[in-house]
Amino acid sequence: MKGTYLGEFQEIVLLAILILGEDAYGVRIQEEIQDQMKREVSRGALHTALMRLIDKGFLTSEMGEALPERGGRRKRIYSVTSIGRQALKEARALREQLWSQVPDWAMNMNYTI
Amino acid sequence: MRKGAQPPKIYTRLFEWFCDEEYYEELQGDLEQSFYENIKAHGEYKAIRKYRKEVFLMVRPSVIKKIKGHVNSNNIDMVHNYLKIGVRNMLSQRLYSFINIFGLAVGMAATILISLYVQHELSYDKYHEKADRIYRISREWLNQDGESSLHLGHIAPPFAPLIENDFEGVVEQAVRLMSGYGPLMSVGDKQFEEENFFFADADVFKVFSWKFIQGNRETALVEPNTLVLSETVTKRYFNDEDPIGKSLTFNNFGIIQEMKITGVIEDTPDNSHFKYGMLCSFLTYENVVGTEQLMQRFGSNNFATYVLFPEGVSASQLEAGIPAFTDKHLGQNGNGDPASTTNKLHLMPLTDIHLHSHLDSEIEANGDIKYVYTYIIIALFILVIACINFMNLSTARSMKRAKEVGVRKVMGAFRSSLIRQFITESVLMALISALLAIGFVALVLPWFNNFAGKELSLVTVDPLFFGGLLLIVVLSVGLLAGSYPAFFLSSFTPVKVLKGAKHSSHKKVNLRSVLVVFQFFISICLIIGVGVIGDQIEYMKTKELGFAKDNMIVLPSNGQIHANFKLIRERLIEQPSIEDVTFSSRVPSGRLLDSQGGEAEVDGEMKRIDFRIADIHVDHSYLETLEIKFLAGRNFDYELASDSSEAFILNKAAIDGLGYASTEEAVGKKFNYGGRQGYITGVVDDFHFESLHQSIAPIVFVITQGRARNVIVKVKEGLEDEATAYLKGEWEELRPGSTWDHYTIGESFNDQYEAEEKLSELVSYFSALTIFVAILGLFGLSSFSIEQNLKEIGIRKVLGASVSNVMYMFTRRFALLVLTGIIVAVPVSYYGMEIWLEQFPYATGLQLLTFIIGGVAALLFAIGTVSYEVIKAALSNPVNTLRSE
Repeated sequence: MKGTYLGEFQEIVLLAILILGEDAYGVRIQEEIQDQMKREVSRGALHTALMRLIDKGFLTSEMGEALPERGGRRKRIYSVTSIGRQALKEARALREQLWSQVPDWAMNMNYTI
Repeated sequence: MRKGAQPPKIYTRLFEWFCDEEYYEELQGDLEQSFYENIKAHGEYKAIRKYRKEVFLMVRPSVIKKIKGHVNSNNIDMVHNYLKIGVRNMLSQRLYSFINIFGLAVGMAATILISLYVQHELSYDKYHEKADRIYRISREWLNQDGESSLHLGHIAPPFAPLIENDFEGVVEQAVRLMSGYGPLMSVGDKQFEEENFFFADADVFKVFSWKFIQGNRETALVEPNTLVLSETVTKRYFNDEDPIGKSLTFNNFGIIQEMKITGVIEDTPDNSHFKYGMLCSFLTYENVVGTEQLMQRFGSNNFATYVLFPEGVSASQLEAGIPAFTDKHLGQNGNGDPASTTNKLHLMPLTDIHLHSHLDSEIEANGDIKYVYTYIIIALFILVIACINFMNLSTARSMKRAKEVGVRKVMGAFRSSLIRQFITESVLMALISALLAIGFVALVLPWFNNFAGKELSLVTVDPLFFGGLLLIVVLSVGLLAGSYPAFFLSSFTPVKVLKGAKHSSHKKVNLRSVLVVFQFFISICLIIGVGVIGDQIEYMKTKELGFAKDNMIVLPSNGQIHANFKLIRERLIEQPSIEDVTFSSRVPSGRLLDSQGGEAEVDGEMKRIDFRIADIHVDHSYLETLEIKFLAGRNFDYELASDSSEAFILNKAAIDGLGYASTEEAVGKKFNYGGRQGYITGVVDDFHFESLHQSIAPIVFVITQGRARNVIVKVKEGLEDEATAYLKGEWEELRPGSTWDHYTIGESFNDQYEAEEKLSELVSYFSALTIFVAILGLFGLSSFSIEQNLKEIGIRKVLGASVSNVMYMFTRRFALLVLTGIIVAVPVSYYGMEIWLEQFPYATGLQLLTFIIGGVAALLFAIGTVSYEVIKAALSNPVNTLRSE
């Protein structure tokens, strides 16, 4: 087992898949991430992340319908497994726990020289 | 979906080849889908670029085919072994390896440099999102015989709005840009003359996709007296302050006007056919001239005009309608023919302008596709020569390894593995050369940029393009160079080589000799090329122009100077350092762009002038100051008041064109031109007004009535410094606030030949490189051949051969190869240079001396290179070479 560590980009991929629901396949996930993060993500980089997440058991996938604008090729629809959801929740809980311990002054400090 | 818009096959195939089958369907589907979506969103060009990028970024372990388990791991060991042997071989023969790698690296570096340059040249104006739909309109005038007499890249102001109006649906936008002719812009105590100032239609930003940093691209130039600045210009006036809403004061043509800044845009990308610094709303200009008047000005061709076609509309639809359009708006010529017989509008795609447009007026001087081709050819030459070296040396050296091959075969090596070994070695060397080449390029790039006036960089170039190019060069050179020794050597039968059969290197003609001949052929062609280009430049610079071009200083004029010219002239002439002063609309070395129609009395009747006579507006002393020779008649006379409107002086070309039998006959004939009516009072001899790229044009001189932009001052020889200092002081008073701006006619003439000088300089650098690489190769080859024949030299010496005998024997072989190269190169370069010279109306003849120098230089270089090793060998004591064995 590769462990259940969730990298930042992988976390974003999982969230994007959850947002997209039924429509979560390659191009859409890529677009969703690009739109939300405002940064370029190549399809290849996304593929690597998806494969890692499948290896960890956070994702499953099935082949969907074939479309003419895909050259008659089918798309692969990804969905988050319950372990995946669990991992996301844990990541969020950990973050919130950390946030709650950050004192107010640390975020509101102004340095004036 | 439009037909033809498909992802490029080559990348699809490439992807199919390396992608794991398990993911191929999904990933290829995704790529295609986003490709089609990108076409809709950003256009085909961007979509293809993006697709290519996506495919290359797919090269990662998670996507690439897994190497199948049954691959023989032995192969990997073998490759390790090949590499190890290769490295050892290289290190054991350091000199040859060095020559080989260094030579190839130099060749590759030259190729990389030139391909960076060429890629940049080809990328001009492609950054505009709608680049493929933007065209520039130019205007051509034909004479009665249908010959082109003038072709301008600028057209008259009414055309753009009329085209937009008459071709609704065919043309989406038509926009105009007009230079502000270097206005003085100021804020507070900061003032600069702005070179790149344009009045531009508000829609200019709908056509060109320059990025806005501040301001709104829709409304920035809609109001009169509004300005959009480039980033650099903004910094110059406002440092880091926010410029929006602030004003600059415009001062030119006697107009002083506050202008409000409504936007800041990126600096003009380096690959644009013109550069802007400030764009001012067109209405500003229109309000000064008056809209109605502007729409009548079909004669003021100062407006660079661009049209944008809607998607799916081709330029030919507009082209088809243009004759009718010109007839409608320009009416008829004087003789009743429709205007379209002598007036043509042409369309040129925006992206072609930089390399293909060489009209009589351009916003900025353009590049030239011919030079791009020249550079590509030179790059290929150098690369080919370097590859030949590489092949020659590898082949020569591999002779030494015949025994190794024999032993390997005896031990059971397959032929295929020997081939692979040799090829691995040469690819390895090519790879090292490529890395070295990148280092070289990084070193010389700043110098090259300075020279070519570019901002090329290894960093900004598309890494995929660059990496791909390099990989292709490495592989093809490696494979090509490695293949000959690989196939040749591996074919040896072990028995023969091990028995010691000698591979004679004395064979009369072999591949190596042919390659050496070819190398020298190319080098000699380049040397001769440099020589002929140099001859031509020398010829153009020293040719007698027909007037006194020396010690002439040109200064800008203005309304005040013009009005008081007589007084100013008298004051200036009193200076001991100043010989004469005159003024004119055009100055020699400039172009003759003004012309008007007229009539001349020939054989007793008035005839329309059916060819173009360029006009120059001058004052009375112009022809005398420039020392232009009179053939007949008299000069303008101050005393005759009628001369200022009725006197015409023509040059011989004009007289010949009009059909007079002699120059004397022409004097006194009636002549009407551009609304003036009078007589031909004098005829001057032809002289070179324009640079020697142009044939001598028919010219008419008339007394200026307010069009003289230039003051020409003739300075006494030896007193140039005093005169310049004095004039500077005078002009500061006469043109307050302007920068001191002057040039001399002699310099300006020489500046016209800058393109040729650049070419000559570049060709000479690269031909030096070529010769260097060729000589490097010859050195390697000769020293190798001598090393192989040391015993022979020893025996010959023992038998009584003198040092010179031995030298003669070896040098002769190589000299013969070079001579063959010369014999082939001379006719080829003779032919090639004749074609090059054809573009000049005034060309130097091909001189025998240039060819002799080229040939002799190559021969001397070659003999010099060979003799070093030969002398060493010939002087050596035979005992040393014959002792062993």
